[in-house]
Amino acid sequence: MTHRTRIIAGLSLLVGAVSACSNPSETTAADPTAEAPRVLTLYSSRHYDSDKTLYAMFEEATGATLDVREAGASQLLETMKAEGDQSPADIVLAADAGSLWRFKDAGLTQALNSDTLNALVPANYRAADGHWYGVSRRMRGIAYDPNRWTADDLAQWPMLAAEDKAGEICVRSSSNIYNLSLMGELIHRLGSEAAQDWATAIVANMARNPQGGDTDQIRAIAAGECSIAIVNHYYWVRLGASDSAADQQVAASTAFLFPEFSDGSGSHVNITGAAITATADDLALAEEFLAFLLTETGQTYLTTETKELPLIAGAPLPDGVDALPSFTPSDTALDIYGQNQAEAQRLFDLAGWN
Amino acid sequence: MPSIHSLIAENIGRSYGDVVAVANASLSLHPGEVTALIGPSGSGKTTFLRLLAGMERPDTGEIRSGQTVLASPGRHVPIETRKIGLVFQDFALFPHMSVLQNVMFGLRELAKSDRVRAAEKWLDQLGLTHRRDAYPHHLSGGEQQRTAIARALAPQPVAILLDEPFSGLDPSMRDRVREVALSAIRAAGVPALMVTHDANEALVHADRIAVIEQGSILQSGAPETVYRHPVSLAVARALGPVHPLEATDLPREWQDTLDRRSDTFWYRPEAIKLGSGIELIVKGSQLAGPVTELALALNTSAEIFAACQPGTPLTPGDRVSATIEPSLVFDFQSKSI
Amino acid sequence: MPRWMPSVSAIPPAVMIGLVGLPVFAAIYAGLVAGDGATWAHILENRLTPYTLTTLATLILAAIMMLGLAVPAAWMISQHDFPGRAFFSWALILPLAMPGYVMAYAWADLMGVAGPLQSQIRAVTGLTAREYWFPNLFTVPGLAFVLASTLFPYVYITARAAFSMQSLATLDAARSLGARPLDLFWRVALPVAMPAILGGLCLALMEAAADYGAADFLGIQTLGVGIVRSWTSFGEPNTAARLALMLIALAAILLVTARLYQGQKGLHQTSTQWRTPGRTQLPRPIAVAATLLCAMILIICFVAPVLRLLWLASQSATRTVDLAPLIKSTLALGVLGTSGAFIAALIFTLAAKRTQTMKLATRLIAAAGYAAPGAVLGLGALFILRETGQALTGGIAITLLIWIYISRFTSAGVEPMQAALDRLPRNLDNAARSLGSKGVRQFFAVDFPLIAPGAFAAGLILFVEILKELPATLMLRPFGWDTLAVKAHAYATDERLAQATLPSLLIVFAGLAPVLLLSWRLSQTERA
Repeated sequence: MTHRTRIIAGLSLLVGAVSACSNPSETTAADPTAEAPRVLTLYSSRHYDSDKTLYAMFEEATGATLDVREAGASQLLETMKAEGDQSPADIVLAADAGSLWRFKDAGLTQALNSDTLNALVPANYRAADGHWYGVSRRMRGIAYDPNRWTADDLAQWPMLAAEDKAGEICVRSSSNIYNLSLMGELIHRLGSEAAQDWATAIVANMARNPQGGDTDQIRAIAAGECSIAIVNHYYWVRLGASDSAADQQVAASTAFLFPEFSDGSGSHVNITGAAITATADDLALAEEFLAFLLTETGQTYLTTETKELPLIAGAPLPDGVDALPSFTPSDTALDIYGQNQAEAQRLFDLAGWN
Repeated sequence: MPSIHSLIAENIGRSYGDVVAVANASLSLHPGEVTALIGPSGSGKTTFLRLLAGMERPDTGEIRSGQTVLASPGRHVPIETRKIGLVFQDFALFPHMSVLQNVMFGLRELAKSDRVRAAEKWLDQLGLTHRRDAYPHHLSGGEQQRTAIARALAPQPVAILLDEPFSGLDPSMRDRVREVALSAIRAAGVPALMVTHDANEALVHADRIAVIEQGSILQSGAPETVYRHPVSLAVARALGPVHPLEATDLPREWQDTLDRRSDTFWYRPEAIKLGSGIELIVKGSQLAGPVTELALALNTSAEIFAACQPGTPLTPGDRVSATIEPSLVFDFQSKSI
Repeated sequence: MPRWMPSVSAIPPAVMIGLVGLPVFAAIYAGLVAGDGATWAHILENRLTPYTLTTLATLILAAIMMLGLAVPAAWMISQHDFPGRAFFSWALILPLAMPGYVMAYAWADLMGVAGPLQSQIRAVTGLTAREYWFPNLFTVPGLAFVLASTLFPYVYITARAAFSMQSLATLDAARSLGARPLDLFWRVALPVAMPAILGGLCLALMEAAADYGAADFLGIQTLGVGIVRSWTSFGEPNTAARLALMLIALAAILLVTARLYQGQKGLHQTSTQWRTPGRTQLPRPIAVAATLLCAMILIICFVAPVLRLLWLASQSATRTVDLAPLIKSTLALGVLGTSGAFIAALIFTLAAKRTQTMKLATRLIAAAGYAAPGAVLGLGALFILRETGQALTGGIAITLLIWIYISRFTSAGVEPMQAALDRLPRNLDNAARSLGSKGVRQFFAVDFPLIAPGAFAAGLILFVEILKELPATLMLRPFGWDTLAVKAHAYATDERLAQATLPSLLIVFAGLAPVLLLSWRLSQTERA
């Protein structure tokens, strides 16, 4: 212990009333096989009560202890950077492939080449090198005013750039990861130049400056401020499943669809996924946890409150998503989103998308 | 210059709930005269001044400037339009304004250049020209006082009211400031009322004195008159010490000089003159500022008090000769009948 | 004992000074020295200027709004009688209980295109959403409005006190010189009260500059947001540290300005007759207007947002939020933080009495911590963490967080204690010493009982400040230590406003107690 660390440790005693000073992952590392409880530390960017139920079920099933720390994904990332090799985190659970890519890019993850998981998760929904695995799907699509447009008017992303959409589009700011990932796939499919043109045209067609979250964009359609909103599907589903009559009305007065990039390209898919951290010791337990998330039970609890879509074929759908149209998922490898992230932000900036 | 009228209060009264602050008070303030309003604490001095100024409304009576009614039960000219100048004990200068700006404050009706000229005239008159651009917190107490007076006089008020104007000043500068201030007020020719609790100040510096007690003006008149002919014990006490003297204790020689109508006389210490007359024994001697107070034995039980020049020191047991000056001996019972 | 030897009693304050000051200095050090990668020029060009300009624009607009809200109300309430005056006198302080981010949630919902206000406009006029203009909350003026509506009570309190304590004679003198009520206000009362008002304004602006939650929610790129984002989203701790430098400089300027103005003590009032002027009865129409003005301010800044949050909460009845763990960790952190900051404030207050140097040092350090926004201190803490090679876990995270609370809020505790001491006759201390009282005995027999009322207020204020704190808690809290503020923020950024309302309302209601106490104490001192 260095002199400085001793000061810090001394301070924690001074302030007192802090009992749990031990590092959970260290204790498990010491003796993973003995009867001492196995501990898995989960850093999650999700905060849903249904997740807590799921974690409890995992603890019940395995006898392991799950320590969960919830925070925004970017904060978890920086926290792990700050913690360095002292980080207690074993698994990171984060929404958006682009977000998981950042963890990998920062060297905070390790490969878990699990045949079990590889069999469960389609290849494009996991990192090729095994650094992260998707566990549920989230789709960025568009909500629209069905009195104004038919599904055919909006069937492909490039159609949003057409002049007849001038003053009709609501969308949130470009720094949002969902937009960056969507742009990532556009770059992949159309090339940078066309993607930038597309973004420029969207900016020209915006009904207002980007503001608020996805839900705000859908509400703006219902209120008549615009007729097209680029949003993730679950925000629309949640409005329809809301307790509030006003929210239900918003959902009822709008329609949803999953545009393709070109004929037969399939629709933009994103995931909530899990990455195994570089500091994780009990890889077997981590793998067990991920596999658990991909069971039918896991899929149910991951999606019931969030209104995401299950990743495993045949898993039951959460209430309310039956209002969504059917779609063909794109086969783009989600690794692409992360790789194109910086370029996406650059193109957004050039297009003047705030 | 507009013609200046007397400021007249007639039978004005003001109560706060059950507490009567001013009752049936009447007083006339004449142009060019400084009237001192004197009375003990709680006598209603300040309320009376506030009524005149328009800060309070009288319940009864009337306040006039000449023939113009300023306040009556049916009419109230508010302070803003009453045009009565006020000078406060703490000067109440506007801290964010220079001396010149303070004096110009009330001159809004004039053009800017006229305002400056008019204010400068007052600064000159009160000897403040060199402090024209100074701010109040840089001024001495006397300078603040003179600024306050210039400010009150500048808008040519119908009267000026001063609330204990000199009590906040250092005694060493008080006389000089008072002289400059009062002469400026007299020169302005407006009626002036100066509230004070300093009898000496009232007697020496005022043109008239009004004594107030329990909300009523007991007596008003020239200082000499009020001092020498108080209408009541209260008035007499307000202007200086008086002592009781039982008629039965009077030496025979003195009884003849006094017009004896009641059992108790009241005399001022300076009524007892030393040098001639009957011989009395000194019982005690006490230096009291510019005079010495002597206690003299009249007989075995009674003493009288005399004020004399502190010449040769007298000690108990010494003998002195004394006469009594009848004009400074008061016999209130007869007058109150 | 030789003159140069530091006395034993100087050790606790010296330790405390180090403790309170270290995170700020760590952040400054990180900003100035610990640079790698991005150069100053790059940061200046891409981040610093836009963030700084946005922050300045927000502050200027907020200042104008706060003056507009607070000064007329304070003038009316201190000088005139009108229906509801006594009620508004304290009720206008209530918005202080609303954290900026909670105000932002409520008003974003109220003002949204689908919110009740715009829906009503459409229902009444028959226009569609594109055919009329409506102010947008997600803008710099919107953020300024949100911050001004929670922070204007700082200005209101100082303005009211300044107006109430104005020499009655000065106002009477002005009236006798022909000044009408409006003249009185513009030519005498306002200029005389201005230093105090500006002092209060600077403090309010400091708080506004420290905001993170509201700006983040509204998507306005202020320095506070920039610091957290540069650190979290862009992985650029150096940019964050340099933005922090900027914010520290801004806060320091505001703090120094506030102190300068407060030091003027109302432009050296010459008048010694301090007493509450008799309030004048207003003519009926003006009295009604005054009542309406105050009612409008209260509705906009407190009633409407609180009612909206209550309504939102009632709408999500089935989606309950498990508040128990949140309340538990909020209370635990609150109690720990309050105790720490309280002890620090006590040590500072007493140390300041001893020597002039101590006084200066404690003031300076407490002020530095107070001026530094939570995000800056959090950054400093993380820097310290990195340098010491520690992980942000368990006890260490809590220790750091408590440390940051102490650093940030000690000043808020020193103020009421110092005020309690200042009200006492200066010779009391000397009298006690002349009677042989010193050291520990002096403390328990004389010092503490004297500042006890101030200390109580300090404790309460500290607790609520810690309760509301967001950025540092967000950055440093360990496992399972989500506070109400953190959770409200998480839900709100997750677009689950309905769930954010319950924790938000709890924060507001908890904050009401000290605000009411503060209001009561103010009315006591102003009456005295």
